[in-house]
Amino acid sequence: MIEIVIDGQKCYVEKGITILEAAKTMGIRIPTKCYHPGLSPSGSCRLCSVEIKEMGRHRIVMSCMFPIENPGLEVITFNERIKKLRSFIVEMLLLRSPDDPSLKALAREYGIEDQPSHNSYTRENKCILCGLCISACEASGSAALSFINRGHEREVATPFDEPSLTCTGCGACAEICPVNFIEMEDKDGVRFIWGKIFALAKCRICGKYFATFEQLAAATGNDEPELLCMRCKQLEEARIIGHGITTG
Amino acid sequence: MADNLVACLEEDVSTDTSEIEDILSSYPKEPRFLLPALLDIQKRFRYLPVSAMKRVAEYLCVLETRVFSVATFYKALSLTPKGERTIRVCAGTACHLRGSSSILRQIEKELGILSGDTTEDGMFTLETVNCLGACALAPVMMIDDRVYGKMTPHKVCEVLRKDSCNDSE
Repeated sequence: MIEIVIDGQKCYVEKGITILEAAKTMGIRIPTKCYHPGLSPSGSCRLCSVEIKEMGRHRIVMSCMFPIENPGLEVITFNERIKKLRSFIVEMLLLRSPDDPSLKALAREYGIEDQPSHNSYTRENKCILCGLCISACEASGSAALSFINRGHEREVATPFDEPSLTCTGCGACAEICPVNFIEMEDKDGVRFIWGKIFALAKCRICGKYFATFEQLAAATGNDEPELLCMRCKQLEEARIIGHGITTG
Repeated sequence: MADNLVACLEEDVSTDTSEIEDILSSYPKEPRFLLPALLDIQKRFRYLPVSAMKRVAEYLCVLETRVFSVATFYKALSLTPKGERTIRVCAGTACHLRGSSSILRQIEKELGILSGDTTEDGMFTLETVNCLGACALAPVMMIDDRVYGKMTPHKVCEVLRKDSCNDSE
């Protein structure tokens, strides 16, 4: 355990955890857009910037990917400098995605007014290029997405802009997207995503469409998986366990 | 863009797969040879056919997403066929002040294409670059590896004519 100071409070944290994780355990909120606890941090949204004081020197680091290694580290999660920096970042993110509710809430929190001059440039909502969808897709084993081009032309795409062969239509990318940019449509038992069409599987108990067949096959390694949605599966298992208790 | 894509796909059929195999066979099957392999294919075909990129991914054991990412990142790699010769017009500060835009306009007029495009006969590709590092010679343009300095719209016509003559010799 290492002793560090966050916002003037002394605390003991495990060596190697990030500042963001340490702050979370202390109940200190740091805004994030590209962070997900299950994926490795990329530090691309820059919202979680904090100031640290190490060996007498102040500097700004990304709290989501700064591992706490040395004792005596001092972290300041909020001051004038951080406020100014984050306001600027929120303003930039808002330019790309002006209608996102969570960004709008952050804008209000940081006192940024919705300036019509900003939005008249383009009112269309764009991807904020956080890369969460790419990491999620990679973690799921499909790896059907990546960044393409560079500079202001950078975007997320499937290989060769064709419907991906490895995509299972799991929808993790759309679900994890912090600004709901990725288009996914479920309609009459069919899912449209990334230019591909998937048939949805129906739960055999509740009758709800709950996943694509490709996704189930990839997750279970079985070409004919049991068609049970998560809720019904839990109920079923609970029932079996309950039965075991009453009879045993 | 859609037209270009169609052109790509049509040409894909005609690209010789054995040539791609030849290029790939000079590299060990390791992901680190992705860029050199793509550059070789670019050099040979003057663009990267989708079928070739797929084959590269398979051969070097690299994800297709990675290949597409790299292929679209570098300016040296192109997804659409480039001309036999590349004309680069400098649009850096010094060249801009000395009138590179009129040079560019003149070339566009002469070749009948816009910056970034390739002539119909596949002879020239016209590009602007941000600095060629020869600011003393501003405005500068390059045709392949040859540098032409202190350009004027009049000189553009001369150079282009001479260049196509040289080529036919």
